[in-house]
Amino acid sequence: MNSSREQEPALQVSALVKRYGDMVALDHFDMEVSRGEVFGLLGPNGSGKSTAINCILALLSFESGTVRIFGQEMTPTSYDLKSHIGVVPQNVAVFNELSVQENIDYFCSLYVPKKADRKDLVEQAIDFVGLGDFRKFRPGKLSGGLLRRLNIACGIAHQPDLIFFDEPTVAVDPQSRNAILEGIERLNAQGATVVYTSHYMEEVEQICTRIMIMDHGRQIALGTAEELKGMVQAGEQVTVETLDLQESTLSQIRALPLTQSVDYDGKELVIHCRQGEHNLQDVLTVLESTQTSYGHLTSRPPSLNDVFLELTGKELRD
Amino acid sequence: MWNSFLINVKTSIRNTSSLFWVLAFPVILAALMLGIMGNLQDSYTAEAQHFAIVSDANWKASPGADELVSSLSKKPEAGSKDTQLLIPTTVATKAEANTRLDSRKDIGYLYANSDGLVNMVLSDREAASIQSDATASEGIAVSILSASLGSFNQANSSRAAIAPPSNQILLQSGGQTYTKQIRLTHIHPSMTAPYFFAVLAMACLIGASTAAEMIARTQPNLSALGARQASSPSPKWRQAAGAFLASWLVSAVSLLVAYIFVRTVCGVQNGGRDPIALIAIAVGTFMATAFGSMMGAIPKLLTETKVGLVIGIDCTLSTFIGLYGSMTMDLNNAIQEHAPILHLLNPVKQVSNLFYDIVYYDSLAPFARTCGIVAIMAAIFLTICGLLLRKQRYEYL
Repeated sequence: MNSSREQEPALQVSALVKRYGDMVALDHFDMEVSRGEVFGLLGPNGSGKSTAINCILALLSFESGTVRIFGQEMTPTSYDLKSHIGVVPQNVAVFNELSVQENIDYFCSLYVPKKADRKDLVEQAIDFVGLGDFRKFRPGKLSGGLLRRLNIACGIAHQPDLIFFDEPTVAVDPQSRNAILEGIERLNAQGATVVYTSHYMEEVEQICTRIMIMDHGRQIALGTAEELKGMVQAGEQVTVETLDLQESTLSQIRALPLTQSVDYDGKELVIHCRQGEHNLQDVLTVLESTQTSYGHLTSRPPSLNDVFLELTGKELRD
Repeated sequence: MWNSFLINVKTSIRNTSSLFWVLAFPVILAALMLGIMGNLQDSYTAEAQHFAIVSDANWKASPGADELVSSLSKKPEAGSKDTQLLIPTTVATKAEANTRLDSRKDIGYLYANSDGLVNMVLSDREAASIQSDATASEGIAVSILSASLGSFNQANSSRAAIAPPSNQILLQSGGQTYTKQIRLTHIHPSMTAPYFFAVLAMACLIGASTAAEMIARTQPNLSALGARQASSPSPKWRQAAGAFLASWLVSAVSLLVAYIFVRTVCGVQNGGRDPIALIAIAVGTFMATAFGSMMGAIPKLLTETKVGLVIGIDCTLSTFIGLYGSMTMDLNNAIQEHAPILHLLNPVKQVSNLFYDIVYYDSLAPFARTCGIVAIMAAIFLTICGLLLRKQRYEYL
């Protein structure tokens, strides 16, 4: 990478507009990813995540706006720039007729033409995703988790500086998911900038330094996980096991200043609170003052999922 | 490009389904054709038939009758194209001959009347059989025998009218001494050769399905593989060129296998022009690959749909070149006679012509002309393919 461009952001997207007929898929979309970041891109189905990534990768044309990667404008023929980018697509994209090693070698060859130069890279990629015992296997013989790991190896074997992961953990077991997330963290530790899309909020919260939530082709929130939680009204959720809750007690709880909503099914009381410091204490005070007996009591702080649902709504998407 | 070429060759060889259609199917089709055409060839072959010869006084008085029978029942020498028509059994009377007919030992008998003319009598059963299928070997043998007897009787009558007996001369003439066979073609091709050329032409265009599949695989809008490759720094034209060359190689090798099968197992001759046939294979498969590439480059269609379209078009166009039997061969001939422009526009016909021209003409000029037509077709297909691929991106939400 040119040293004069080392201060440039890894990725800079400005006022991107993409239309499909009358439908606006990206509406003046902005995004900036600093070097060395693990940047999470969240959004419901149809929010424009994939469109944004495909525009960034010059796989899609767009009406207006700019995409700059490491300070250079990205175009379909920016071959030098593309050689620094890795892509791990959402769908496993490998040749079923080739072995694990042959697949990784082929996709690496698109970036590193000389076989001698890529021999070590291929070995390192195989080791990185832990497919050493399966190098001669064809994809049809691999489990879902191993396939995902192969998909990742094909995208990172050439050791790119900027890697796009598009929902890489879909349909894998917790062990494989954990291995994949640890792998992404290791890549980041080695200097790679990562753009990560997922529907699993806990993953994004675990590995991303900053998170963007987008909907209707626009950015609607951006920040660290904690910053995002601070942007919404949702606070902790208090759950109480109780069998003898009186209507008057329930009314007192509803009347608490930070109570958002209350659900009671005769066994369990769930109180959704707004952001505040004394929610649990206030609930306990009401229960004790009304001499309500209770069993198990838990308090869960707001999650990224709560933030996501509050920002993007609870109605079903496609 | 080299890597793309190698990978595409490798994936093709390892894809059993694709390999079956491109490599095995044409051979199977040719083998089926061999079975069908073998019977057809048989049906035009005269086989020797059992006849009784009524050697009574009239027969003995008929000049040349014995020599005629002797000539028609003579077994041909090895390598000779002559045919034995009669397996004679001499009997003394017509009654004895009729008894043999009833017991199905003979299909008929020959006798001479008082004028010295030789006549043929067929059993009712055999006459009915021949009437229903004149192309059966008995029918052909009887037809030839009948014509021979007619010729013999006519010559005998003439001899009786103008000259003393000279049966030996008459027999030697046999209607052939005074004629000469003129051959317009390079070799004497078998009548089944056009069907096998149709098989080769169809096999050649089936190879286009490989190209369609490979080119579609480089398209980002059709597959995750295409998108992944398109996001790499390897230009799309290199990947497409690698896929094209790989597809051409696979198609050419597959067609070569089918050609070797047709030449060796099916026995189709080409007069020692195998090296030129290799050129025909190269040119034909190049055009087929270009056609497949064009089909593969069509946007917004699934790869399976494109492959299906290629095979469908191939099968349909093959109808007009006679692949499916004598009726479609008649159609082929009718088009050639009344609307040759349709054949000119039919890529399957042009590939078939490549093989035709090698066999049927002494001069290579017709072959060169067909090569030119095929090359123009390939250029058109490649141009369209290039235009289609040029601006395609990954358009989906």
